[in-house]
Amino acid sequence: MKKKKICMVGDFSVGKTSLTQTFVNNVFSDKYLTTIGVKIDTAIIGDTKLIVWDVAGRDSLSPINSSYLVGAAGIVLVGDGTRENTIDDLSIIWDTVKNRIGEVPVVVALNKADLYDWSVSDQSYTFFSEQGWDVFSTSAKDGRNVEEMFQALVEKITN
Amino acid sequence: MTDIESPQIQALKQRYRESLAEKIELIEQQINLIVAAEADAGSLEEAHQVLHKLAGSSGMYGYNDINLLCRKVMSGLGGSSVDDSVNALNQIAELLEQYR
Amino acid sequence: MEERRLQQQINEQLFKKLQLAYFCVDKSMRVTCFSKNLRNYGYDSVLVGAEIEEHVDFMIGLDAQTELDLPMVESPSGTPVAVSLLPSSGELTVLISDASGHAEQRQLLQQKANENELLLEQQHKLMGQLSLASKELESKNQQLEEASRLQTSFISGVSHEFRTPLTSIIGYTNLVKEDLLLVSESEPEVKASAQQNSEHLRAVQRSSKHLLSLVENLLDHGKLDSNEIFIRPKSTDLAELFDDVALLLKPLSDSKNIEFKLDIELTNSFMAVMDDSRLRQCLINLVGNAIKFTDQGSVTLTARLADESLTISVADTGLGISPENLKKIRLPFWQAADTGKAGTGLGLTITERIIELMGGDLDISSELGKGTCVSFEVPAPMLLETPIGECSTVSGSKVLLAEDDADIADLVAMMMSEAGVDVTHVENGALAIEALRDQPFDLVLMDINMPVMTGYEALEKLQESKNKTPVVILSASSIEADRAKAESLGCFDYLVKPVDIGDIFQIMNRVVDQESL
Ligand SMILES: Nc1nc2c(ncn2[C@@H]2O[C@H](COP(=O)(O)OP(=O)(O)O)[C@@H](O)[C@H]2O)c(=O)[nH]1
Ligand SMILES: [Mg+2]
Repeated sequence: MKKKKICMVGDFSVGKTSLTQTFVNNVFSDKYLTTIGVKIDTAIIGDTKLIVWDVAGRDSLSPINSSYLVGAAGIVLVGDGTRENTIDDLSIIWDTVKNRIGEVPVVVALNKADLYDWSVSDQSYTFFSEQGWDVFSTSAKDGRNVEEMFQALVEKITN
Repeated sequence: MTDIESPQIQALKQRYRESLAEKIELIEQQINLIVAAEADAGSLEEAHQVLHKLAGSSGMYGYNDINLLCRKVMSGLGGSSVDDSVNALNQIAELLEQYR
Repeated sequence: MEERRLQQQINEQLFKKLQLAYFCVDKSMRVTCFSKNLRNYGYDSVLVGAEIEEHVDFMIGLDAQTELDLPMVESPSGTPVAVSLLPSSGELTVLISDASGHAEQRQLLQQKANENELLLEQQHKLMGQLSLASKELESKNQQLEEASRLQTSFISGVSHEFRTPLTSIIGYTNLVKEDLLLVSESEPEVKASAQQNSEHLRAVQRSSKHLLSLVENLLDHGKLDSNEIFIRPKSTDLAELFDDVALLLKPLSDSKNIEFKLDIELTNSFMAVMDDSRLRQCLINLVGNAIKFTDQGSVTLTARLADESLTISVADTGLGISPENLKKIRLPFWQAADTGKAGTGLGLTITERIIELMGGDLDISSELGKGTCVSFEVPAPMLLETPIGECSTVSGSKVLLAEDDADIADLVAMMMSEAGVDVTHVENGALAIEALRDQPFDLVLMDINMPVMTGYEALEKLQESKNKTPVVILSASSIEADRAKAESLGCFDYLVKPVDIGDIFQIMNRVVDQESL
């Protein structure tokens, strides 16, 4: 079985850990617990064993800690659909990723789609489509688009 | 202060008393008018005016009974039928008769 | 070979001391050696010769040339570990050390920092929403103000419509009652039935008066906003006024089986210069309220007249008002929701305003379950009875009399000139306006119902031309609406015929008093 490392990156508290847990263990918690360093989980999609690195939010922004990215076959850029700044930050984070490991397959998860105060600007959507990224409005809470998002990334990696 | 009346006031009161006969005639005219016009709005309005005036002056001259009756009749004018209005006015004419 | 084993032993000792675990892989990422304590971190399937990717997840995607520091990775045992990849001559050594102490601290710090930042973000967002909301509120407020203005004018309009028929109900009831009295005097056999009828009439009258007071409250509420409530002091028999209030409200307290106590001390003189109808309105509102909110015990109306000042208090043993409701109770239309009592909720607002205008302050103290006491103190100047005729202020003053009825005009003119008043007589409103343009007068006595120009029209004309000469209306109509109309047109006072000449002189004294102020 093929094994692929992917990294969840994005600002703190956007839902990287929650998305991973929903996907891997099918559990969701409302409590916010900052991830320190990296947590590694595995899940199987088709004939691929996915090794999901849930990278600490704050840390993934700093070049020093971009060491976690090394060896990743794909990236999930996670933003919080209700916090516009976390979406704006995605392009900076992408630059860090590119500098460290080059251009790898990417999907964008705009998370917390279950909440009301959705605030993703048209500019952001335009930017994502210019980059050629697939964008998913996900919710770790109700599970929408979570599998689809991971599935899409795996397909990009294996093709 | 009304205890001792000046001759001038007494003369005025006398004059008013004497004018009551005239006022009976006026009322009788009104009665005829109301009957003739079958108590239409115009004739009632005119009767009302006459009574209004009579109520004011009679009170001022101390004829409380006339004053009271006028006010009562005014409120009954145009009430239900021509007869009612005529009867009411007749009451006043009768009351005035005793001052003739 | 021997050397290598020795080296390995030394390393093993050293690593143990440092609590380090390690493994080595070759170019093809197969394990060449590993420390036994690797198991402590949950990497327990590692074997020499095995492919490392199969056994250690964090090695996936890496090759033997990678030099890397992973400061904190969660190991399979749950312990956070620090990982170092050290490539040398084609082989890769991977060192693993316990980072849990370090991790705990960082976790706490980072959590705090992140939570703080989240709070800040949220604050920011809230501020934005707040400023939006406040803008929205502002425009809502404007809409509400507009609505309230419409409501006020609607209420005034409707109240007016109600008032006219109501006053005529009261007026006509009065007349019928007087009539009944005449009947009962003349025919003794119908006396009994007449008496019963007049009882019924009194009930009708009481209810109408109560209804009227509600309507007047509503009407006054409209005036409150536009500052149209006026206080018109005149000589007032306070003893009579309190009797009136008691008579009007006693049936209300009787019907609820509570006691209505009067404690009135007016000392020697009880004639005061006050607006009797406004004072009556206040007392009816306050006592009415007290009775309304008292289900057992008593309502006490206390009045003290001393040093030209009238102190009133209305105390009840009713529901009482909670401190927070005490703050709201003065708001218009406010009603204690939990009491289920009906009303317009305007009485207190209006009463408070009237008392203010009379120069007093309404004080409310209350204890929930014990009762409420409402009190106020207003100036009550004593009336100085000057013998009429000798009165210097009346004698010599100039009065214009506008009256079309010669009988009345002559009588009034005669009586006034006997008191030394200089009277000019005209027959209608138009002539009165003309006369006022030509020369000054101290007072105008004006009939309403006149040919050519009525008293109302004349009042209007005077208001337009800003003529300030006080006008006293002499009207044959005792209907309240007519009085209100005249007052709204700015008349100084309103007397109902038959007019007592003494009343006119009293008014003239008041005119002089006001002017000398
Ligand atoms: N309503 C909602 N809350 C979410 C969602 N995903 C995560 N959260 C909450 O957001 C907070 C941060 O989530 P977490 O996964 O720890 O974010 P991370 O810092 O990116 O790993 C937690 O309180 C989660 O419960 C979501 O899809 N919907
Ligand atoms: Mg996390």
